[in-house]
Amino acid sequence: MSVAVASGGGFGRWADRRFKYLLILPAVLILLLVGVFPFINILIVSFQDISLIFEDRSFHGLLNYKRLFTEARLWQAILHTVIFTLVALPLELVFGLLMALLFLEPIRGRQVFLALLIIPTVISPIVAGATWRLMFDNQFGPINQILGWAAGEPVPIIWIVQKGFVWPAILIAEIWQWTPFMFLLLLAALSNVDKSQVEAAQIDGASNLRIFFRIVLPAIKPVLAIVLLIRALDLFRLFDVVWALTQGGPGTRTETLSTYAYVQGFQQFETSYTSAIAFVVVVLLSIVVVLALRRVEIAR
Amino acid sequence: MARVRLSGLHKHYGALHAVRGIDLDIPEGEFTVIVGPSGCGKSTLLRTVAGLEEADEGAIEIDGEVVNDLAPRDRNIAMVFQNYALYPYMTVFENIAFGLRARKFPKPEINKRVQEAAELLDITEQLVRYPRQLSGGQRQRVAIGRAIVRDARLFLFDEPLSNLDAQLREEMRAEIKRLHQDLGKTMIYVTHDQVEAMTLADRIVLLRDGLIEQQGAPLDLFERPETRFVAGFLGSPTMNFVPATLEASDGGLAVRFAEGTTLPLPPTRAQAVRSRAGSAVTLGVRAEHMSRANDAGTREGLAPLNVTIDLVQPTGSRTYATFNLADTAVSAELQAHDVRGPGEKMALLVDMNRIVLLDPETDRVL
Amino acid sequence: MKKTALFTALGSATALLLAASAPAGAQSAADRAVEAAKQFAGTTLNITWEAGLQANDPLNFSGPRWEELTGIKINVVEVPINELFTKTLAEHRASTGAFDLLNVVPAWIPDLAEAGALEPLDDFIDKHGYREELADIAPVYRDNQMAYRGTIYGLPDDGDVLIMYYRKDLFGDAAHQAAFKGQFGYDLAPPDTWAQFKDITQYFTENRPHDGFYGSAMIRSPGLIHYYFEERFRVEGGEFFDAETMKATINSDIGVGVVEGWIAEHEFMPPGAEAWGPIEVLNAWLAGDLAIMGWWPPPGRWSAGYGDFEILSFVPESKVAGKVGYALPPGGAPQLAAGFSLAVSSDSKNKEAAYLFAQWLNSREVSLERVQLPFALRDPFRTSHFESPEYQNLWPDAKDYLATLQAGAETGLLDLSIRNTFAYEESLTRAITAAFGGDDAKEALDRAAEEWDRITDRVGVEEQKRAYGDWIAKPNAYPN
Repeated sequence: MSVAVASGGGFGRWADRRFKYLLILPAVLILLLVGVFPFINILIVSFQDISLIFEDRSFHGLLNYKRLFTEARLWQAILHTVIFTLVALPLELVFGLLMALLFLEPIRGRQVFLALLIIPTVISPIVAGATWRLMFDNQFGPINQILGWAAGEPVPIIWIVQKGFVWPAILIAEIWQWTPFMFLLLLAALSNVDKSQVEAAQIDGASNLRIFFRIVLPAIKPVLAIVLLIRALDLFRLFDVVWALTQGGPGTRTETLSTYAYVQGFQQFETSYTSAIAFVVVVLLSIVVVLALRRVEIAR
Repeated sequence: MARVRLSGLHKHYGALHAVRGIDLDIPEGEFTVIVGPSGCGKSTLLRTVAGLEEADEGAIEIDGEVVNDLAPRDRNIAMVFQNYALYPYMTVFENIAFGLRARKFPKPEINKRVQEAAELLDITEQLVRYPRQLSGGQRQRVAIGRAIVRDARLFLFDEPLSNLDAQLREEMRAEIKRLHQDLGKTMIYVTHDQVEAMTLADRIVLLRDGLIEQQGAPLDLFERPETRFVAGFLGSPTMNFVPATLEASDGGLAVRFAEGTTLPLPPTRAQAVRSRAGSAVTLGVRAEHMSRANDAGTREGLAPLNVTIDLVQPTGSRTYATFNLADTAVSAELQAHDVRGPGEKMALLVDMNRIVLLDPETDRVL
Repeated sequence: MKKTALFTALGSATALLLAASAPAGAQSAADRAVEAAKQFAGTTLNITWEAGLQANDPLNFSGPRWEELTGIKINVVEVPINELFTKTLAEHRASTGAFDLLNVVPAWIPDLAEAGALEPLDDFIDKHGYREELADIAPVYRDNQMAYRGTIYGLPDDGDVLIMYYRKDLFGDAAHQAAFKGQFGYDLAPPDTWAQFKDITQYFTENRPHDGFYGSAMIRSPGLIHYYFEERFRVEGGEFFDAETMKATINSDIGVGVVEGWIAEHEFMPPGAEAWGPIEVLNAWLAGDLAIMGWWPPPGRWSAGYGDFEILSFVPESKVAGKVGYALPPGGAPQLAAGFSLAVSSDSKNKEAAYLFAQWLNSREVSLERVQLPFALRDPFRTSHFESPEYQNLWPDAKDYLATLQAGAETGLLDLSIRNTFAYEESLTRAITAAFGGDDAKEALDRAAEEWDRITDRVGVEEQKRAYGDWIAKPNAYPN
């Protein structure tokens, strides 16, 4: 490079100074292509009126956005999604954290347990959903079987239909599948906590709770924040498990934003309307992500 | 202040038997340094005393109370770690105050104690900083501050100076020694550095392969090592060991080397080893116990030795001169100007009162 | 009446055509298709087919044979049924020309034809002399599942109809007959009304021949449940819309009665049956655990143990062979749930070859073989199928089976097919499952009716009114 500068003069020097930008240029272009182009396309389509019946590509203003605000079912789906997230995320966090803390101690057969525990996260969500559908089968599923043993009489719960059971069913499947993900990342983070700090705190007389909140938690906070963010975004797009178990039903009782959007976009062919949903969701989530990342930055 | 007593202590790490039966009695207020090469089990021993490791066998008593089953926090001890183990997300003040807060000290008391400790350690200005903003020495002070701010009955140091540069290490060493003098607490200090051990200890416990090789006051160990390992471990440079035979001469005994040179033993030393006459021995002699023969004449027990210097290492005040004796490189500590350079032939005087004689089979001092 | 008129019209057209253009030599439509297709030898046709069992027909039977006959390769694109419509429309909107021949559910024809995705077939039909054989297709499929606004877009290719299967051994048992009559005051027989259906299921649940036996199970899963609603609702006198205002009327007492009737009947079905799909119902039936059940035609063949093919390993071994009676559901007007027509993609570059393959598949000879394939799920749809001696002798009761299917093909009710039908179906399905989940049936259907009105508004009331008008003009939109 320095040779080029010496001989080439103008361009060489320019290239030298800009070299780093040239290096990332292909990546930026690809990102633009796969990220920004669809986004703009969604934006354009959302102002048109394309549906199963019409394919009207003229400008229709806020037609679809107005519909967003009048569609109670959409807001119910968003509410469901938020509740799913608010319930599942803390539980996944707590379970994942407890498991990770357990695994910090040397246990015989740790590798085997670890491999077994990770299975749920490794299998595809739609397979997991199908598996849980069998698990929850009211006649042949092991869940009712086990509950039946515990209760001493047959348990007739129809998990994927009955009020009051559909939500727990989905939450159980979702938490089962994704707690190991939390667990893995938190285990990695916890393993990196300086052990001598914990020991120092023990000798200093701190209780385990105090050690956890004052020493361990601050140390894993950056990882924790990222994991929570990833899972929150995942949960906000919750689809597979719901689809496999209830398809959003009975009625719309377990409909999430994603299953709703799927129904609208791919079953009803409401292309423009679904684009408007997608656009709003992308914007909202982007804001959440930016704010969350900024908080993480500040915390550092 | 506490008296510590370890009896029959064992610790395994899987297949590794790290501590293999330690009995140790540490009186109140004593500064005990546990020293030994890496892997000798000294850190494990300390951590077992702290309660960070569980003893597999044996008892740990502090003030007559068996503490094996007590959690570290209940043993009322303080510990300084090799890497300082400061809490990175707390200020220096919070670091030092952490133990007090954990033990629910009242706020004014905490402030007072932290201030005192900070003054004692000269880190008052750093109280509002975070550990990452401190130099190595300051971090070490904070770590010590964190230990002393509580009235722990026992202080444990796990190689606290090994991460510091040489000059700082000397400074801190002195400071720790002063601290012990001021506080008068029982302290157990683990290091692999024999200089630290010598300078700090009331008593040195030399550990080798999970067992106590020898213990006693520093000069005792230095002057009267019981094994080649102790003799070689303490002192710098390391003691020279030269194979030789013990032979009778002129009614006394002399150490004879392969090339024929002999060094007569003074009668006081000869008495003890008379029975070994004619057998092989290892001569141990420290560099500083050899000097250049000069006109001032000789006194009793100094034996002359003619050598050819082949390596010269001046350090300023002293110069180390290396020569060959019985196919062994031997180093002598001479006055700075006593030697000019390699190839110089000279006569040395060996202080035979200070040498040690070892059985080459057992490596024990005769 | 209208039906007869159309039939006559078709018939006479056929006669004319036969007279005018039938080539020398009494070739069949299948032979003509093969002869004409030879000019396209070497090309490859991409055809959509429902993924799974259905696709075994073109993959293992008709595709290879067609290639052998004509040199045209068949590339089967398997698409899950619930993606088939969107995929078809999406490919058309993008003008990819990815597909030549399409499997379409007849109810989709209006939407797809309006979107311009389907090629009109009349010219091809005339050119290759297929009118006569078209006339042999059973009336309900021929008159309802072929054309949109007078233009033929699809060749009806699958006689889907939801019939009832019952255990004739139990129904014929003297003890049961006496006990039933004693309890309910009328003879035990396949039900004529849904009230009788409930009595029968109650009786057999309470007097079960063995543990785990229940009166009935019916398909209740989302995506299919609306077919049963549409059938029972219409049989009981319900209408989907007020034909004047296009206001939805599914929340009428009749509609609510259907859903509440179901919920009451669940008492006499296996626990959890309110979420059962076709497979669960089929399994229970073949295991001999049900007195009566509803399904498409294939269980008629599987119950008899006909078609013991490895490919059918998912179908449990039948424990009911020889014990099965066939009947039309209460009301005698079965839903023609789904079905398939063969259509040519308007984006195809090989339209004529695609059409010829469709004609050959659909022809009297070839289709008779196809509807007898035990693994492919295509069901008899031609009068000649129902009357085929070969088919009638496939198993001892095959004649009864075909007679029931033929009767269904007379009275069968069309799936609702207007503009944006999916949206209506989806809304209706949610209302039904909500009621199954514990919501009030009336409130759930009220909500669905509101949603229907909004869907209608979006489509345009006039536009939808016209489409609905077209639909109810068909002979089998409502029971006669």
